Amino acid sequence: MSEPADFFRQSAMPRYTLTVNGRPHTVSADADTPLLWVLRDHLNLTGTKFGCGVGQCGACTVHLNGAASRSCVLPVSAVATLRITTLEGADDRVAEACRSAWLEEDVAQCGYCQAGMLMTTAALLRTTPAPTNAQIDAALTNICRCGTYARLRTAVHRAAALLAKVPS
Amino acid sequence: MSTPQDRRTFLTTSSLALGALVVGIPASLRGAGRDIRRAGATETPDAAAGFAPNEYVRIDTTGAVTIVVARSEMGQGVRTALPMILADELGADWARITIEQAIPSTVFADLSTGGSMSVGSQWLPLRTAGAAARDMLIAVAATRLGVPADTLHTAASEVRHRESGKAIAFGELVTAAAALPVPTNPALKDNDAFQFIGKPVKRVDGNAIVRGTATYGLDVRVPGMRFAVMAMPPVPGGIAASFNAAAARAVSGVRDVITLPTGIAVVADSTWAAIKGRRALAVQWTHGANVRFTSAAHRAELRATVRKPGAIMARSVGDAPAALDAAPTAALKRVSATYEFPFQAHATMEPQNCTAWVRDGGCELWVGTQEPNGVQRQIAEALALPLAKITVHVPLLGGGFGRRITNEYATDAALLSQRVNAPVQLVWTREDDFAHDWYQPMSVSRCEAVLGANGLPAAWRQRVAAAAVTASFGPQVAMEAEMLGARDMPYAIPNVRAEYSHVPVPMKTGWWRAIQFVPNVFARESFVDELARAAGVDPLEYRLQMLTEESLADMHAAGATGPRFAVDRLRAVLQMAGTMSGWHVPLPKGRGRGIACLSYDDRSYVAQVAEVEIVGGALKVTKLFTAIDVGQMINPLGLVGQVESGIAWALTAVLHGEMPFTGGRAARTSFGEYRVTSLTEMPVMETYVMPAHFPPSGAGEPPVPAVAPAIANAVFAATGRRIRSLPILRTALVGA
Repeated sequence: MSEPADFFRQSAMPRYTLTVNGRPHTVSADADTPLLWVLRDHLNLTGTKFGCGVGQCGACTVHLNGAASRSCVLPVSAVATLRITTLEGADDRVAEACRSAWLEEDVAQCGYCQAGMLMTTAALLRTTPAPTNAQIDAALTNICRCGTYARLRTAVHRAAALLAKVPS
Repeated sequence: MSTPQDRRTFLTTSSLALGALVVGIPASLRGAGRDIRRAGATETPDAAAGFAPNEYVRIDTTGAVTIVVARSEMGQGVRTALPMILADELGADWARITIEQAIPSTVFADLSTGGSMSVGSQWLPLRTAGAAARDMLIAVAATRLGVPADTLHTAASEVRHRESGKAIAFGELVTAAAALPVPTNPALKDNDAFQFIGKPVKRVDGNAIVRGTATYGLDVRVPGMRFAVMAMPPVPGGIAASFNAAAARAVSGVRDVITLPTGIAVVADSTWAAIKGRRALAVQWTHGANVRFTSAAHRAELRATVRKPGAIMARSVGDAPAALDAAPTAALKRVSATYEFPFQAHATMEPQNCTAWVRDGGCELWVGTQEPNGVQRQIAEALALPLAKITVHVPLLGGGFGRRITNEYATDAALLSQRVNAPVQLVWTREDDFAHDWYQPMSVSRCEAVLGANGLPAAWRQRVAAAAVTASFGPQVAMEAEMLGARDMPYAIPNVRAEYSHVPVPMKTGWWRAIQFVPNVFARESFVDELARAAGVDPLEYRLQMLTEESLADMHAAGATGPRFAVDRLRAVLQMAGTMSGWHVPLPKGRGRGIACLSYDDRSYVAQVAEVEIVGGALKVTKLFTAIDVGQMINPLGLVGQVESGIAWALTAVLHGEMPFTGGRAARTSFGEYRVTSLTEMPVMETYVMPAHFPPSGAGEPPVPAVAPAIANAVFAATGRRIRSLPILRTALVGA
């Protein structure tokens, strides 16, 4: 389903080989197709969410070579050489610490924004292992309409504490 | 709280009959919750194995307990709280429970989710369902162990005999239990025997959410599906004068351009191709008469309307006009003020969407809806198919807040699927979502009072003018809904009037979290603060003085059905919020506290104190104290989460939220323009849940309405500036 059935349609589009969650995937997509839609519609990796399409809400955040990036405004043609990680494939100790902190604090409500929140936090903690509230504020500009912000902030600190406790 | 006559009668059906029903309508009991990604795959009718004494619970021979949730999960926690209620009565092992989402059927004829009613409405049915299953399992175990049933209890999915220490797992009992008649009137547990109810339980979908495997409507994948977006008239009533279908079809990946009554759809192999195709349509719209609508003109009309008597008398006690309209006297102080609340959007994080598959004389849909039965009826009508041929799966909702009570796009998805003969996922982009919302209407309230010599109001009048939400749903304006928070003004005042005027608007208006309580309570509780200041009385003390046994006595006398206003409960939350906040402890210059309260439909009671700081004209809400009484608490984790969520929701309206209309269209269609509360704006929040022994009520909406007036009153305390219009613009605080 990820590829158009019609050969001629398919042939009209360039092909890209992407490294997603450690595995190569070849997709046919227009060069301007945002990575978000390649992940969701071509690869069925639906953990990365569509919220606004213009990089404002952060629900679509993935890692490009480990850095948090909003995939709804990244053309596939620009990311083909990068290491792409989505929430489904984020399995390092930082991501797992975030997950356990999130569960421990019972952060999620509707949960739709949380993939972006988790991916943003994981990237933050890699570069800033013990973030201050101001650093968290600066990094977590993602929107949550359920207003899980208070528990979210606590969970970021908890994840940082977990990582500090267990040496890598 | 558990008198037999209160209970539903569904348990009169025998377990065998319902077991047969499970086979007859497999989808009704084994729906979306099982594995939505395998949608369309053959479902094996294995659910009949084991024990299904009612529609809410099944236990198989391995002892696995499946609990069916008959409300939509939109973050408010029903998929955790509702199963807790049943599992507690049953004595189930929480760690081994499977949650299944109900879908519309003859058994589940009302899955409606809204109005903070889920827990309250499901409390007795779920307890009764769990207790009936428990009693049947105990009856079998009693025979096997040769002991009286009343010496047995259940825990961790076992029937246990305390004296001997013997235990039998549920799985070993279910086959025999299934042959027993279902008790119609099982005894319910005493509150002090609760295992789960009242204790913190983590969200059941938490793990799936943090692993990216939770399925929302937009995540539904069906083999062979197409993706669609719509071009819809930006001005209500507009029509497409021209569009370039050929250009859209030329976009790679686009398969069809289809005109529907609501607009022009582009169907493609991917969402992006559909979006590009829509851009290529270059639709020229003929806007029609509504292009002249502006929210500024509407505001002026509302302001003029509240200067005149309201069209609908919502409440009348004594003779308020005689006191209010009489010539001024020295003894009576007259106070009046007008409060304004703008249009608001819902802006759920997940934009509206629906996946539909019309085939074999039926239609299967996956839609994050608060009204699954409504979608079923709507699609049956649109496709002229019998109700039983429409299957509506309810995945997780990426936010609801009232927006997903209406799912008009589901019809478009079904029509498109029918036209292209394939499953279709229709998505509204964020811009569509903002531009075609069912908006919270703008509302203007004029409040007037005359204060007697004792400083208390001798007369009170609140006139509300707004576009009626109920007018979007039918020809009748339901005054009771439009005047929530105004009509039920709880203060004991001898002469009271509440008046309402419906001023129509071209766009759809809808239910927004906490509905009309939000504008009406903003006005009411701000005005009470003004009266207290005019009387020179502390605003908390002033409220307490007016909350007496006479409060809402006229409403009680009128024989209102449902819960009755309990003045003690409202007084108690006010006093608690005062205590929590250190109400009487002075604050430094530039800081202030404000208080507000409400009875939410006489089911939940809330008082909130806001603490604010104004620095260089910038408002910072530093603290928010909430005392809430929802009756019996189910899950403290969920409840406190809902309070914090309600505060964040209200803060958007206080700090940013406003949807202006110019040229008949929504003027803000992105999060950049329509700002919502951010992490940095959240206050420190403290929540106290009142210990209460009343039946449980809801918590999704009650924490919202008092937040804005508490903040506005705090701004007055800090600055002497009275905020009468939301959002609180910087210009209102310049120089403060």
